[in-house]
Amino acid sequence: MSLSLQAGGSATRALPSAAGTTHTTSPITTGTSVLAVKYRSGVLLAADTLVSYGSMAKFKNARRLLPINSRTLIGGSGEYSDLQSVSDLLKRNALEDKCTADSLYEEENNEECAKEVWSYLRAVMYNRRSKMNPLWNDIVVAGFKQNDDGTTSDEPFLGVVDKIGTAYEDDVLATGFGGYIALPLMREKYRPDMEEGEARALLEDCLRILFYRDCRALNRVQIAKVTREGKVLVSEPYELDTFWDFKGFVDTKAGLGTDGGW
Amino acid sequence: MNKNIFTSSSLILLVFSNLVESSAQKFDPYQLNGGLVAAVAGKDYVLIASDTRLTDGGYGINSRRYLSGRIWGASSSSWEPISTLASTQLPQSSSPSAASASWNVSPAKWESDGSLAMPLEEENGPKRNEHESRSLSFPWLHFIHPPSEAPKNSPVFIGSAGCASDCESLKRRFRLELDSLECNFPSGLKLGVQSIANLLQQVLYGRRGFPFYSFCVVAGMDNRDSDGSTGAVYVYDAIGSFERVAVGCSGTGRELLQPILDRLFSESSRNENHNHDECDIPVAAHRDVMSVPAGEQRLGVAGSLRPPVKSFVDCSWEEAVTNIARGYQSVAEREISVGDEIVICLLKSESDVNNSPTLHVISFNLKKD
Amino acid sequence: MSEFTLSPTSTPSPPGFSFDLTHRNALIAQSAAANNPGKLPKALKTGTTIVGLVYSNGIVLGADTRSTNDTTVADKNCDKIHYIAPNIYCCGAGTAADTEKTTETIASQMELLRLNCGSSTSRVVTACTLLKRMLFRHQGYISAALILGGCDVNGPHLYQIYPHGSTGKLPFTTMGSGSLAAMAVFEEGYRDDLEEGEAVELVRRAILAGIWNDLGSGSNVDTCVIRMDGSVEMGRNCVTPNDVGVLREKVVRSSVLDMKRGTTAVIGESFRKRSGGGVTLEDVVITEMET
Repeated sequence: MSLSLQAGGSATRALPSAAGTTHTTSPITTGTSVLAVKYRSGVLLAADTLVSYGSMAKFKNARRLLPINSRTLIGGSGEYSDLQSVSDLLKRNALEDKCTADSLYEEENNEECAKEVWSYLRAVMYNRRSKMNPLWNDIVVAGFKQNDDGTTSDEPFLGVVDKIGTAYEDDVLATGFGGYIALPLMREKYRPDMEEGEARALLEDCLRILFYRDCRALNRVQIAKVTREGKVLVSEPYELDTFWDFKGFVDTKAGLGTDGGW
Repeated sequence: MNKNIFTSSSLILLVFSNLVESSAQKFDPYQLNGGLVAAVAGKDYVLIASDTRLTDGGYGINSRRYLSGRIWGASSSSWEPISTLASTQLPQSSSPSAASASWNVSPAKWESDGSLAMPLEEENGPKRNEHESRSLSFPWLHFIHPPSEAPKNSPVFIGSAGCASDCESLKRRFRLELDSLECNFPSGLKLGVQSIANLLQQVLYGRRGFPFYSFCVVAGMDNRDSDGSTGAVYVYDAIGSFERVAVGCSGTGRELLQPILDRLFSESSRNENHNHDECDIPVAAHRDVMSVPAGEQRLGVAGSLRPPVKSFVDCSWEEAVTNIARGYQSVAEREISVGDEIVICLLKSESDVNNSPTLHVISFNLKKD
Repeated sequence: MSEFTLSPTSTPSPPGFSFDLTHRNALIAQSAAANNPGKLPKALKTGTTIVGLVYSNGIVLGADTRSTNDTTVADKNCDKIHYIAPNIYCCGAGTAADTEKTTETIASQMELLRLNCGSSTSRVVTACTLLKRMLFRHQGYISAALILGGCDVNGPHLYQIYPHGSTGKLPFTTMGSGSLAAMAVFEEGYRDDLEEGEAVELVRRAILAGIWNDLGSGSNVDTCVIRMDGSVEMGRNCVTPNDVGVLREKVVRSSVLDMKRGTTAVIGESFRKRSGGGVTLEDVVITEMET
């Protein structure tokens, strides 16, 4: 695998300033939360498909859950162009792994396991932050760990890397606004032996709540999973049903035509 | 406006300012992710401890079981776990009063990159209910045997807290430096704890202009004395200034923990000092109990110059573990970013096993709110 | 209601808040930002989780009990549900002094109003109006974020009030730094016409979500149920999940902390008998007045 730490271009790279330096200033086109949870037979990821341009809902069918190789999945929030460049970089590495002479003659898949991808990504992100030109993303990496002999382990892996290179693993993860809204619910409901349906219902509930309370979220979502059988599946985008009709929201306020204050 | 005590807050915009990424926001390469590390040097042991909470730099908890960047081994390959024994006894307690029977033995695992890691799911265990404290099963212990051809030097541990991404990078950078140094040594020779401490200073100071926000402690056994090895602990600031101490801590909440530890570890030192003094009033009542009287400070070249404070405590390892756990419990009650769990690595010289030390990992619960 | 009359601006130094330094502070902040960007004095972040919801027969309010000063816990079991009227209570987040004084002031005004009107209960909307007027008048400088709830002749009412004086009348709401965690629980579990038991349980879960997931919130859960029949049930510390005793039992208390007899050195002893009961004329030296 290539050890180059340079990633592709970045939309957040500002024009050279007077001093001739380039710095990332701020994200421009952004995606919001990614949610992830381990369950009985693997890892499940969820995200909506909205990419915002400031406060404008710019792209409503953008995919933020991306398979990287045959057993690793990433989900990214933050600057969408940076996410695409990270995805390109990782896919390039995966392709290189697949095509190098070493792996051609090996029976076992020589691709990086999720933990390796995560660790590599940490180095890339940390390097960019040290140049004060970060990749403005929180990226969730999901998949499985590897045994010492290179075969895929039974132990699911779920980790996240942020824009300054902070990397950690956990059983449940949420990035962006989801860290404040969805994570508390996910931590409350999580069990290691959840069935897929249960885990999916939990993630959909969280996405729905995010749509209710996060101005940059949408009810058009995707779910993705990595399973023990070595499958990476990403669903097509679909819409969640919503409910807005609690009595207190529908009734006139205090019967006075105001919010009740005089 | 003089706001003294706050309950709480309203200022949601401020609280989540790191989330709301407005165009005016400037990139900040640092984030303080909490973490409190501490180390104690004893006569025939040394221990290093850390809490396992990773915060998001604000009011959020990223992870409750983060340890890999907090405590890591400075020496390399020869101390990989050789076997992992379940339900082994903790080392025989010399004082029966120590309630070591009720201690949790940590399920932390030793990773090949030198770090300790908390397993995320406890094997076959029921889901941990956050409302209750962890139920106590039979203690099970990860007992790491020294390899058959015992290395000349025992492992050295580094605890680092502060900016988690910097700590992780420091770990990798440091271990790389160390490996490249040791490669040039005659086989099997390892750096001692004092050299490790010097190397850490160099690595930290190497980034003087753009510092690692890593607040470190180093803990290891010092073999230089003819009268066997003693524990050695060093404390650092972010850019490499360091000193050797008996008890040290670093990270978020160190202002709270250090005085507690000073007090808890003062008794044994006081007893010793007491003999030197004919006055009825304990000396300790008047001055720093850790200080060594001027006449007793050793002089010499850099290598043998000892600090003017005691460099190890006299209490037993059981007492030391108890004191550390107590100190952390108190800090966790008052410092919001310290909590969840404390993991203690105890390195203890065993007279029976080739004089090589054994490693024990113990954990205690802290408040989770 | 003379309490609300603004003093004329011509008064040289009006009582209450002084805004003299506001402009100066803004200038300092501005220049600090210009000179060393990123070094701006950090705004104090303060934390709390407070919630309230309407159920079939009234209102349930809830609060955590941690009060913080920067990252230090200032009070491990404070009270954030304040009395406004016999049938109205109010949760407060923000600066502790502001929430306490504000609710106290309004409670007293409500009491006077009841005495004037000869009624035994107040209307929630009155309290809401008094609060928002007071907060608006101070332009957000009183940092009190409130959840006001109560039952009156018009039914159960729940209001949220922001420090600047804006209000909202809602079926359920949360405030403070733990508000997002608590709101997730509400969004997941709230229905119209909850039973009292379910409502209290939902409030507890919401506060616990704040306690576990928000570092600004912690310790215990307080609840307050206000029913349509006028009865109020305060559930002070109804959940205490953070008992430190359990943790401490696992660690033996260090004997260093046991002070033995004689720890304090005795330098000398002298006893004097107490002279009678207090000062009498005999103890006083009388000097002649110079004339």
